[in-house]
Amino acid sequence: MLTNLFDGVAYGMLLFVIACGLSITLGLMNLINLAHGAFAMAGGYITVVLVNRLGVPFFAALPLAFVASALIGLVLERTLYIHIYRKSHLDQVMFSIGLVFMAMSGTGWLLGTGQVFIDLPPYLTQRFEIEGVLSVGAYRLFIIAVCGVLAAALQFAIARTRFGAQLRAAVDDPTVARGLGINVDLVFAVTFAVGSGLAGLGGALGAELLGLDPTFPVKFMVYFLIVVAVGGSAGMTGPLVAALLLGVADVAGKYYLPSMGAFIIYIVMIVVLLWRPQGLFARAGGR
Amino acid sequence: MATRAENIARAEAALHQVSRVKPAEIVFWLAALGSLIFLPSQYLLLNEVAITGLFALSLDLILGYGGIVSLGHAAFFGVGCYAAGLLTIYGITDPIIGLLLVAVITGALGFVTSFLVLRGTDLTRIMVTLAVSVLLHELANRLPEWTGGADGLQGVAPGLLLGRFEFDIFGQVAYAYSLVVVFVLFLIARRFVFSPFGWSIRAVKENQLRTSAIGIPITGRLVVVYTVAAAYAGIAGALLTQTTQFASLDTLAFHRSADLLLVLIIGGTGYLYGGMIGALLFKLVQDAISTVTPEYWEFWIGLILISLVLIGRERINGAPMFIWRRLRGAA
Amino acid sequence: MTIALQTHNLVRRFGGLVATNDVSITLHKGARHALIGPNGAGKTTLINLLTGVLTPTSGRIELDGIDITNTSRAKRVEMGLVRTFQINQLFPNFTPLQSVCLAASRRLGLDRNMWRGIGSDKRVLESAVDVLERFDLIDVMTDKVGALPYGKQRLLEIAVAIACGPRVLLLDEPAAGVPEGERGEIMDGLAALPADVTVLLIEHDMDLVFRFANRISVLVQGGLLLEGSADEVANDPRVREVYLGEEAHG
Repeated sequence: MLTNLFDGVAYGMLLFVIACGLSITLGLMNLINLAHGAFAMAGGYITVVLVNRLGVPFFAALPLAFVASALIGLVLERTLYIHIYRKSHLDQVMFSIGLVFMAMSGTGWLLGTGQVFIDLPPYLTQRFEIEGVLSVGAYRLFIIAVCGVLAAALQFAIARTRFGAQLRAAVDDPTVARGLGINVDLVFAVTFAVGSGLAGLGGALGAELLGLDPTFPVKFMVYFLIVVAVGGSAGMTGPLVAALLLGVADVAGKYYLPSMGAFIIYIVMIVVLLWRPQGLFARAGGR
Repeated sequence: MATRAENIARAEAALHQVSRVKPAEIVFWLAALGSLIFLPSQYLLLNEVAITGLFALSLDLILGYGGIVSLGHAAFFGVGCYAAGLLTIYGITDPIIGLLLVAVITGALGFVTSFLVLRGTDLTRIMVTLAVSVLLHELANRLPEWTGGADGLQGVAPGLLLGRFEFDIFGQVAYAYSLVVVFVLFLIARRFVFSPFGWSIRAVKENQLRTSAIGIPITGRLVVVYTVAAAYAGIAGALLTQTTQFASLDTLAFHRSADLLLVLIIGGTGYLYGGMIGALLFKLVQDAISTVTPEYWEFWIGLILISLVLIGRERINGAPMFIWRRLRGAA
Repeated sequence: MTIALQTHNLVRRFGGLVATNDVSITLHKGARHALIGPNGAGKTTLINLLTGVLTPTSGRIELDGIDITNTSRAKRVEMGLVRTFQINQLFPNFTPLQSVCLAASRRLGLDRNMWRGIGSDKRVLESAVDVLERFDLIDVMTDKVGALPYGKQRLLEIAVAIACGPRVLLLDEPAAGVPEGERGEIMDGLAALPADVTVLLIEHDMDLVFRFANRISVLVQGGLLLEGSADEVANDPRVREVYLGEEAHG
């Protein structure tokens, strides 16, 4: 049972790292970006190419995946997304679906439509056993460690740094923030880039765990959305709690109820939303 | 200064003007009838267009009139497909009875899920509708005893239509059947939309605060329109299964919902004809792209979507605006 | 004289802030009552409490003698408590005729009809035309609401409220944002309100207030400073201080 808990936490942390960018762009820019999964996919595929084809060591490829995804995010934000901030949610949905379609199709054309695997360093594929208590994969341990550090760093950055303060101000009220001299456009751009970068990193980490192929964004879109909707877009705590809850529920569900376990996530989502339509930690204004 | 009686007459005329049958509408349906008579080689294609048009009409009711953004409308379509197929497998082969039963089933599903869908924000709505359709897709995938799984539903055998007509491979009976069903449902939707109830739905989309300040219970209204839209989508799915004798997982796939949004955006929302016009245009575009790049047509659809949004839906509608105004009348 | 609307010791707190402080107001049937006070005094909060948008922290509200403190918003409208908004809340793509017809349909209980057209019932038409004539909107009744001049929109805001058949009407700054030249229309509109409708008017425009109201309540920092006839309030030194003091600072 502890093994399940452990695996669930790993899965949840991964979901969180990928989805936190989505949560914050929603809370900050009121932007519904269904293409967020595409950045995760990009990070995953970039890592595949770097490690498998170019021989870059895995640990070096990870930060590169982050940077590359962040750059892609930055470019797209400044050129395309900037035009849809003020549009209706329907328009944003349509736009991001269009982007996802193009990304998935383009990736399939470039790198094939089958599932791809990253050549992981051998010490990451080990398992550690504590007799009868739990069996831990080194990779999952690695994920929990990395994601944990990232989550803590995010919390710190948002709560303690000047940029974090500007971000929180802009989330609360962009107009007032501008009036205070905060460069809200810069905040938007940097946040979007970092969120995309984190998604890319999460995609790279998750390729082994979740399976990477060109349909990744659509396959996992629901899960990211559930994390954000259940967690609320008020900050980082909500999505983290939601992601962990969903990760554990999903893994445990699939273990204890093999045929129907996959639906646990949806049932949890429905129950939470019936109880709290704005998500577990909602902001007062309700976005 | 006009007298009161004159003003009342003028008001009545103004209101009637909106719901009056426009000449363009008659042209539209005559053209549809004409396609049945003069285009036998295109029956299969036209049948698909009619069904997609009905499906899009159902989405228009909640999106164009109610302002509800749903990303999972395929759920009702797919459930309609499978329900219709299963009904024939289990002995209820009369197509029209099948349609009515499917309408009840999908309507009930819509009613039950509406309470989830109508709470919360736009995002939770989008997510819930998406999640429900993904959930159903998964469910269908994991119950091959019922749904045939990835192979699709086998053994669908609708009976004779009206006891006399068989669904032949040329598709004439199929298309005529679909066209009549779509026409009847369209007429019902038309009356609904111009009734006080229909106006209250539109009011919710225009200004929710004002609508509730008039004393209209918003959630109740939206539940009704969502249920009706679900029933319509289910009927569209049933038509597909009955006329093609097949139901597949594809009908529950996400891209169905996404394509449907595109269909409606192309055709225009809020005037009932957008779904059918969009379906026709979409089919033509889809065929055109498929002949050029069959594997990567998703890419071009994505590009079209992005362009549509960036150019602006209002400006896109400028071209068919002529048709739009003709079909909508003064208001 | 019957009492149309009454509040008993109404209190509303937001955390540490007391937005509504022990407010007891009595409106008699047919009253022309104004509520004035400096910005931030809590006037809109009071309206939100009366209409059910906010629930009171403590206190009671009675409409025609019936306790409505826990009644739903829609039900209060049905019982005859209707409001207008300080910022226009209209249907931009409808016409005034359509807007008023919808409200009239609701009042007549016909709005759940899914079959007959909205203009098919004579009662709806007559009711709508009456309201449109009363507020001088009959000439623009088929124009798009979004295209109307602001003064006409403000009048429509009131017209839609009247079309709901209110017993008590809460007007939230009907002259707000209306250009000087169109204020006369608003005043005519207020004068045209049916005599049996009880009206609570919130306004900053003192000209309007003193022409319209026979009783005035002064709200300051959530609490009632005083209540009296128009003359009494106009001459009360405390009221002048509240407003003049504000002018000296602002």
